[in-house]
Amino acid sequence: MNVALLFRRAVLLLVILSIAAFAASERSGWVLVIGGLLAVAATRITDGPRKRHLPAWAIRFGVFVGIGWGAVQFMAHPSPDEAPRIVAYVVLGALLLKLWDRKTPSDWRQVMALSIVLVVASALASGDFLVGVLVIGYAVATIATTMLYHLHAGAARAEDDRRAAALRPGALAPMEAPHGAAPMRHLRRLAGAGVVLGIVLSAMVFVMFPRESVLGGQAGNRQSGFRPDISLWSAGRVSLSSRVAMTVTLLDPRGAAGPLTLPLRLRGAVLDVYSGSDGKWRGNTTHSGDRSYQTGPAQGFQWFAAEARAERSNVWTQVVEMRSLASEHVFTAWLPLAIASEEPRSFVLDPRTAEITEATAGIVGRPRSYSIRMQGYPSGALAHAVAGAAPPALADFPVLEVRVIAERILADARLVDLPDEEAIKADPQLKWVRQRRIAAMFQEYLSGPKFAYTTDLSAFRRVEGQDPIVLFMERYRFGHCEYFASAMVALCRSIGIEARVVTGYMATEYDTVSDRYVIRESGAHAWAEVRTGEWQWGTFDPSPIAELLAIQQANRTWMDSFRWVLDPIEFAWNSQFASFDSRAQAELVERVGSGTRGTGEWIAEQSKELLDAANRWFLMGPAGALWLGLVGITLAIAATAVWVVGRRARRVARELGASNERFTRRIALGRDVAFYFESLDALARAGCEKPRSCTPRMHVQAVQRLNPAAALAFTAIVDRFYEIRYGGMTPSRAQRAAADALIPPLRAALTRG
Amino acid sequence: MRRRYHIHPPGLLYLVVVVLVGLAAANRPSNLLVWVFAAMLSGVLLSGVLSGQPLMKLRAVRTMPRTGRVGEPVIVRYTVINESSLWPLFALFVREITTVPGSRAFVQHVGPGEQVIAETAYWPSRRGPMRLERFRIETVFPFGLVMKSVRFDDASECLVLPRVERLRAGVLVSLASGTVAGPSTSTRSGPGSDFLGIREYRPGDGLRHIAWRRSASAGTLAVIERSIDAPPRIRVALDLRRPTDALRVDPAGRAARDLEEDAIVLAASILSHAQRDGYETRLCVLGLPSPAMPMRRGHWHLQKELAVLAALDLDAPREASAVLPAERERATTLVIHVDRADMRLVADGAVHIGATQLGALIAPISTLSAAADPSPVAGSATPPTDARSPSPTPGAAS
Repeated sequence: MNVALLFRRAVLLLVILSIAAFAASERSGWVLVIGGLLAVAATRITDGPRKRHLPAWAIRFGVFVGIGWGAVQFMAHPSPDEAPRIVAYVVLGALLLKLWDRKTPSDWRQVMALSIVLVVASALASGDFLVGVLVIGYAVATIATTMLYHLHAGAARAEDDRRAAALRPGALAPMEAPHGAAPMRHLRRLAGAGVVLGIVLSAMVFVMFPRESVLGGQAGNRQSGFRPDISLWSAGRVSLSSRVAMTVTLLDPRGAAGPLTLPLRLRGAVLDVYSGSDGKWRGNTTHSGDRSYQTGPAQGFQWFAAEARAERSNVWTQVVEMRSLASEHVFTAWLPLAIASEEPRSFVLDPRTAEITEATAGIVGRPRSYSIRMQGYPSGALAHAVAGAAPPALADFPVLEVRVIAERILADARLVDLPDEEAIKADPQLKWVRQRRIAAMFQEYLSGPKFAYTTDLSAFRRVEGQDPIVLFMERYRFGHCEYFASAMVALCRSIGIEARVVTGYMATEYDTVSDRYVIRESGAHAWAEVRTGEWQWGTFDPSPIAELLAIQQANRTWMDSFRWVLDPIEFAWNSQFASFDSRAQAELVERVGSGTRGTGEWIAEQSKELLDAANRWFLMGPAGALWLGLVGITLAIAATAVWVVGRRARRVARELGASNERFTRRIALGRDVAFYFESLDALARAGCEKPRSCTPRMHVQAVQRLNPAAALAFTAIVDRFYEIRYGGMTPSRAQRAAADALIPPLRAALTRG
Repeated sequence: MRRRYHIHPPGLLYLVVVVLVGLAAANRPSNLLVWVFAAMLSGVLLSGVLSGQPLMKLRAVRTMPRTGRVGEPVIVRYTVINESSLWPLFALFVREITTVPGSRAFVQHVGPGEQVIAETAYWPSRRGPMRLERFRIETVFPFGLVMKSVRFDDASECLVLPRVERLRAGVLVSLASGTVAGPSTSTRSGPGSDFLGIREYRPGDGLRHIAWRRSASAGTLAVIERSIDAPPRIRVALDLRRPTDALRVDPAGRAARDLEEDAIVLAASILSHAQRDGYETRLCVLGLPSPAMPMRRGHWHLQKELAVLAALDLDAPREASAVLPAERERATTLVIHVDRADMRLVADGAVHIGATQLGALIAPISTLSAAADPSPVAGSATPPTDARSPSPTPGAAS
């Protein structure tokens, strides 16, 4: 058993897995390639015949330099989100350096510990699917590697002990660790059992872990992706993910699929409440007029209003298939009129914002697909019918400085023929014209050359007492779509124009083979909606689209071509794992509870059906159930008898050394010497267990020392046992009864003793 | 048999890390981190299950040699039996709960129903009985988080013989040269060269042994019978009549008890040396109770003599009036004194040696390899007086 070789290979695998996990969290193939190559080279060279390694001082110096670099980086970016990355880089450096060190068991332990820290830091930095898979793989490999480590290190430590304790060097030959037969097979089995048990235990802890709602698993994640709220203070670099979130098939009123010439914006969440204190946009949580709709396989479209069902012109259908995103929000391009799904689901429509959400929260069975009927250019009457009531007026924007900026921009724009208040009084419809023109002007202003689109917000520093929107417009003038949309809405609302932020996806990639839009996480977007009619809201996107598309395009890699393989698994990961939250916990508990209650009933029903089927098959008539019952009882008795006989035969083989004898002989022997086994059981219960290495006679002597009276009774039993086992005696029924009669005196003596 | 779980520093560190990861998972809404925490926590439970369970069915038996020697390894073997029919055992350390310096035995694997023998070496530093009361089998397998141990109470004993030093070549010949000992004629017939007598011819006698003249005169075949060569004899008397605290020793030199031990080592070394050189030996211990030993030769006789020396209890009361019995057979008497020589103990012809001369009689380390064949050196009768600085040329000093 070459444990040392196996162990070295296992550690190398662990190290590479940890580097891969970190590379996945960083989305950098170079980290994996360079780190992996260095690790392999270090292992090959330090384990080679010459055992070359770096001097200890050089390694210590390198580690100190790494720690210093990490401290400087943290001082430069003192963000809790940045800390795991910095720690991971420092640990990666230390790990690669440590691999060049000499390899005592202590060094191996340090290598393993560093790789664990690297994996934990990677898990802290990213909750991505690939990282998750690698972390799980790492955990499985760790179980086997740690076992190997203890075998390897134990042997080395024992040898060191032996050498250190020797008063005279060379007096003892080197020791070879003794082992039994097939150790590797046993180790594999034990590691397998460990993995299974570990998964079961960790799944239990995972399910029971108290947690708040982490729906979507996106909070704290600086990757691009849909978010149901916006925080403008989360600085740092936003990495663009090429993961496919969903696909959308757009069917025109005639049922033909095809792309639009303009980018398709899919509304997800509507955010109309701004908190200046923490720079966050949220949705309005008061949903007084929400309406619920049940969908299912046979129910077809559930219409949101009777007028919507009657609408015939320009009604488009959007079919959404979720690929990796697990969100409770339903994405629609335009005003939704109806919804349908293949699975029985429950949806809630907020008529105020036309926002649809999945009502049944939790991880289990989140919809994989749904269809939406929608109207691209709804009339006021249709929008009114869907909304059902007048939309509530939005509050003014709470940051006063924005109004000054808005008025300045308005004054600089010198809009001609802008309807004034008197004209609006005369014709109220001019209000919407005015709002549309001002919003368009703000959109043009923000998407102009004064502002730059970027996903790197490292330099967007917090300034005490300053609002992030004001900072964006007056000081930094760079940001991503959330800043542009926020600024647009803030400018509008500061001068009384109702506006709101919408988050969702912008679809630009169309797959002509499958005739559908491919929506990637990098397409997550935010824009503004401005009220442009009594019931209508217009879409205004102030982000510079050209720059946005260029950044997305530059982020594509050749690996994106293979996303179709990972996407289904990733969907399961996100829907079943990453989005497991407190509501999912409650749902799971409820389902398990109801499942337990229903299991008994299910078993009873199935048994009855099986019984009826058997009765019909054998044509046994009304008394068939009785016969089947009798057969069942007979079978149960037979099974019990087989089990008892088999157990006795195994005991005979084990304790009487009769494993080579025929099975029938063993059964007969077991029956004949049952009294002997019974006496051994009685002695074992009294604390005189017979060691397997001890003969019956020797055991009598051992009992003699403890309880002479019991030994006397036991002697008679052993004599009879010897006659049967070795004397060739086949006891008759009466002799067996006589042997059984020897047991009570033994029991009585043991009780007295 | 007693099972225990021990607090293990790496396990404590691991628990601290688990708690930290748990706190991070509670504060950071990432399910992957929650799972990492769950996996780390389940590692603690697994560690208990995967190694705690098999230890329930562990049995072990210790096997010790009857004798050992000071400064030499005493190999102790442990038969580790796994009575479980399902669980294998891995990475077991067997450790004696004793003060005797020694290492731990290590067993890499014991399969279900198997038994494996592991060994370790103990290095006794003093003669006498070495008693091992109980030992412990412990393991940190599989993850090194919790140390589990099973203690076995199994008392066994090994008699540690005194240290035997390699004496200078020819020391024994030199010591015995002025005495009445030496090769002598035996009264027993055998393949020797000395004449023992003439007897009648018996079938099987060789023709070259026939006494032709005597046969011719007597008219029947007679055969010359020869005696076996009797080995030289040496009697070693260890004078321990004076109690330790009554010994007259140099306060600046070695302690009295150490000198007594030196005397025992010297006796053991002379006996071993004599046996190796073909002498018959007899050990007499004066002042302490000890069995009477015959004058014999051979490995087992030497072992008995060394065992007597090993079992000497220097704290026992001394018999100051003990006398050395007269030797019935011709033998060199060598009296080893702890402090000053008492010439009245034996009549003339005895050689008296002091315990302080032990160092002078020991062969220098540099000559050990050269003296693989220790042929007696004439003229090296009196050992050098410099007790602790061996001369580079053995036998040259007088």
